[in-house]
Amino acid sequence: VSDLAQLFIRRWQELGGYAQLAPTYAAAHNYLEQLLRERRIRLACGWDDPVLERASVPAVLARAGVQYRTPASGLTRDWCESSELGVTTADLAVAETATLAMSFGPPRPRSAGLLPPSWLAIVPLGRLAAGRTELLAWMARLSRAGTPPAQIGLCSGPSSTGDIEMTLLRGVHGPGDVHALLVEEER
Amino acid sequence: MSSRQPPSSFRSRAIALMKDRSVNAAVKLGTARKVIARLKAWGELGEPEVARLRAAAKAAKAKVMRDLPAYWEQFRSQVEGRGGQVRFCQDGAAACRAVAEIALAAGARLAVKSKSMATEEIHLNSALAAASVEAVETDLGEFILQLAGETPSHIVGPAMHKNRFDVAALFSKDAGRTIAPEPAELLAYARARLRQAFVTADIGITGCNVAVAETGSVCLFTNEGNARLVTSQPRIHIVVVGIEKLVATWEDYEPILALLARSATGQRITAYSTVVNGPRLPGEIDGPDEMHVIVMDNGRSRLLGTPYEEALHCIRCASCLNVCPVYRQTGGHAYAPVYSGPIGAVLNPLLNGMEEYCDLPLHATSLCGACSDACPVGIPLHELLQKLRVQAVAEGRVSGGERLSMRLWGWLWSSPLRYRLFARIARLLSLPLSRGGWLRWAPGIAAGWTAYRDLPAPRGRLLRDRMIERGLAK
Repeated sequence: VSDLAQLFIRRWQELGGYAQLAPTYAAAHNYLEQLLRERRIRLACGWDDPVLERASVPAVLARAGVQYRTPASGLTRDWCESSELGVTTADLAVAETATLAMSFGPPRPRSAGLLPPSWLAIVPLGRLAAGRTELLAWMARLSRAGTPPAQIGLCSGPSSTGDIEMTLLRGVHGPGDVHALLVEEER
Repeated sequence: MSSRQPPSSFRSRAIALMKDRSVNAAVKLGTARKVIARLKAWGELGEPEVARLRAAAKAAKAKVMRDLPAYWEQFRSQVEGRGGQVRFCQDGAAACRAVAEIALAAGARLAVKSKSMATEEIHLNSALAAASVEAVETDLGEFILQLAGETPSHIVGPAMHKNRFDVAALFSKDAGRTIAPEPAELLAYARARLRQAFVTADIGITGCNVAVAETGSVCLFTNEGNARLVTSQPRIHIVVVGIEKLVATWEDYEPILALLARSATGQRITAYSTVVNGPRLPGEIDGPDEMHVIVMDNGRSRLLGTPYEEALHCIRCASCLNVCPVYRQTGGHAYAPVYSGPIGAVLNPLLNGMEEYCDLPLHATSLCGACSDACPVGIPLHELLQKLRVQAVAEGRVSGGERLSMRLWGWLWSSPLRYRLFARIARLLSLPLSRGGWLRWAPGIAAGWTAYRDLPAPRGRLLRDRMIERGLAK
């Protein structure tokens, strides 16, 4: 598992993102606090998700004086558009391609990790997968379900383009500043 | 019997473009980088895995082509079961009408689009303009071309032929102020300008990279993330998809997921892959209320069951463009308006008619086969080009002079005696014209050949004579 985590982290970084292994949820707080300071975040949006609760994301943001909303606290698309940071988790972290796979739904809006310029995904290490085989099985299982998610999203690194002289540019439409935090602690 | 030529031929467009140094440099650099990137990505997978994936992709496409209507029916029932609408359209005009009707019924004024060759093919933007709907391209390359009023010159990098100075001039004009030709500044302008469009648009229009029949899923790949914005912000999502983009199952989707990005840009996967299964669920704060899928034939079904059927397997990775010695010299605008390179030289005459486009298989290929080697789904492109040539000749679409010289050549080389005579005479004639071991100039009709190529002068004796000496030939 540790080799896979290292592979994910290396490849996410190669794509131009930030990735780290956090041993505990407490370490994840520290990462988040530092991110809030460095990016001077005042407005943020996120998901209603047990992982983010366990990581005390709402409490950390409140303590730092950040205005934070999730669908449960009346999050809107406009709020996401004004936010400087979106916080989500992911269902799967695929090492081979450094991909975070997400099923969207009412508590997990697509806009949260998409509209703000910065995005942080906090993912329990147990959701790490090796490669395409696991990813495909997950996508097929979700889509074949009785009520599949209206949208499934895979993200590998920052939004990027090579359309101007094939120069790699980040943050063209989606977030250019992307953080993947793998949390070892299982609760 | 010569056919009506299009207003301007491939040959004349190609010659003009090859003289444009800025286009020429941009295309050579762009294609070379993409070829290297693909080879590196394929190399990482390893030859056996690439072979397995290519065979699997080919089998997946062949399977769906055998029973296309039934698989689309399965797709339709899945999408409609989740509240989406599916409409089948015979041609581009019908597809445009269908989109315009949806826009009209919704009272839409603004549509944002993610990159789609299918909508380029049917000139959807002009149809929307006629319905008083402004369409904004959101892929950066397509946005640049929209401002320039041009069509894509490359399937994956549509603005490959433009440099940052061209882009800065276009953006400055759009903004009404000067924007420096610095990539970061150009990017910042495009982000702000297009973000405004994303959040205010009524309609989002996408193509479809792969449609999965068993679950009625629409799969989209982008690096910019624009397809996810297009499918999450506006209240209506319209998909325009050609009938060939279908696979039966998620297992059949796997090889395409593995090969498409690696072949197109050398990435293991694109930055964003999005699967759309239907309109938003109750309680979702984003995603469209309505989802419409316009399934378009536009000439494609004519290819089913013919020797050209495999052209429908194309996943639009543009690998064949990048390796093509013709494309690399001319860029995409020498071809027909939408699909360029070897796949364009195959598809244009097949979908839009031999009459107008037969000069692509006749003149836009050297039949070297590099395209077939590069194709991730194993389309025998150069064989299809050759078949189209045979068809063009059979239909009398080549000049009398060309037909006569080919007939003469065939007559000369089809008898051993005449062939031997030809070889000796050609050697004798070329010797006095050679200088320093090279034949650089020849008179008469042969001058057209030596104008662009140097031929090594004959040296020593004929191969045949040497083989006779060693008892290898009689």
